[in-house]
Amino acid sequence: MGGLSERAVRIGSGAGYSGDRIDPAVDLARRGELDYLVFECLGERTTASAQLARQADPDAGFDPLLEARMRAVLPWCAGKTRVITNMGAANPDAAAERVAAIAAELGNPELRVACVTGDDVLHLVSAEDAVSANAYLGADPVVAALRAGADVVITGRVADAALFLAPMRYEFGWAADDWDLLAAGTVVGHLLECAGQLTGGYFADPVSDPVPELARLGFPLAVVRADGSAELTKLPDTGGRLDRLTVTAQLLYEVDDPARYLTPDVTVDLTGVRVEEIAPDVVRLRGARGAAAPRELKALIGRRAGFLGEGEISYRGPGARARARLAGEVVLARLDGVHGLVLHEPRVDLIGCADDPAAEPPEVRLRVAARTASESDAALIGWEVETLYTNGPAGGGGARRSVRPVLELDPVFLPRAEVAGAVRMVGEPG
Amino acid sequence: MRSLRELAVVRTGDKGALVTVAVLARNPVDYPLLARALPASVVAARLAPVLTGPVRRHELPLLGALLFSCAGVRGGGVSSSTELDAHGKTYGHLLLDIELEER
Repeated sequence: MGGLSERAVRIGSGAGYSGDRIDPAVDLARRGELDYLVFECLGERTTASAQLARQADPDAGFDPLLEARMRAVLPWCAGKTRVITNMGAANPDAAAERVAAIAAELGNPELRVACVTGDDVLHLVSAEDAVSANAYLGADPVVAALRAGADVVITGRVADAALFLAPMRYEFGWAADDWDLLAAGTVVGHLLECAGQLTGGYFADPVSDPVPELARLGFPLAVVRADGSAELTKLPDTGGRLDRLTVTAQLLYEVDDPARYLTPDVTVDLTGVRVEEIAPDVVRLRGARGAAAPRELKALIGRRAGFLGEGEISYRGPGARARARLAGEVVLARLDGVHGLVLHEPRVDLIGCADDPAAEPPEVRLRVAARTASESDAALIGWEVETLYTNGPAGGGGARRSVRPVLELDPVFLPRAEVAGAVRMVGEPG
Repeated sequence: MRSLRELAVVRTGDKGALVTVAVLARNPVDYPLLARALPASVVAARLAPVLTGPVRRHELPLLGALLFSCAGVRGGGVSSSTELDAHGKTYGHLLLDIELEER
């Protein structure tokens, strides 16, 4: 037993989005015997919002849960598990400094924390109204950080699956153009990147598709070997299920063309993948094929697009639908007649009726929403929903209102030569 | 006739103004029925209230799955939509009461 070819690397998934649960990550750090724990926390909108936060405060712009997550898992990771995450968001430098400070507080000042930058390409974008522009970096700079000896790697916009591919490339010495191996590793990363969505989250239906102990849903881990073969599993004594259906559902999640799934590292063909159940909650994957990575890197440009104002109020009992509809008409009339508001893409939703013109549900929730140019205009929408309490149809209750800034995101494609990832180790000059 | 809910599970994903819906046969033996009786046109008709673009279908027999790539989600996708479900994450489940004709 135990030649180099037998060596397996264990990679756990600690988060599937910025606001994800933390306790399953702690469980993996504690009991998973992991070599790597990866937190994937950036979405399309998260990245641009983080840029706005940094513009308002130069020390902000990284994941709000960075500190809580690191305090929770670092004590269990020390000396055995390296951590990789894109929680640096719009400010990987500041995030890495914060992690190093937390490690020192926890009694581990020797922890080597690296930050990966270079995804911010706002300087390359000519659009005047752009407030953010972030390219999707591949695994290269994360591999470089691991080679430099980092225990924790904090990145900005590195592609989700690349965060997982990087430790495989580093551990197994996979070449940056060994397309089939990169495809195999990318598929494993794609499956892990949404954490609980592989283990029965976003899957359960209590009647048709029950998931055991959903409240205790565990996060997944992969056991990967140098030939790219991999098993996906979850820890014993956690909730959830990991089988052919949950894995296949996640394999195809957010995929446009399964024969050409584009990533910064490789173009993946999923059509030959086979998902095989080899034990309870253990699935083996094989058959991913790769082709050359796209010549250009995708970037998302963020632009300010005004504000979203929303208001909601409920009606119940016979005639609830008609009263909610009247309420919506009254709100729009007042927003126009009293305030002269210009509404963009206004929506009047009768929640509970869906798109069924005949539905007469026992409870209907009115929602009025629109975009406006200014924050104060957006606030008027929720206000005029709230005034329905005393100025609208009978029996309105439970009014709520909100306002938030809107960012419009548009993709652009940049030549690779113009985008360079960079690595800096905390405590060393950049 | 058998309902899609009886035969399959669905997984909805989103990317900008695109919504993807994977339809997975619970039992792989039912894949041929799905492939025969669930063309892109049926999915497009069911999602018509929430879609402005075309629906493309990909067949994945080794996975026992069909993947529908649905363009033009109402509201334009998560970044600037005024929709309550701006992603479109609830849309795939609208397919589950489609009745499939067995031969």
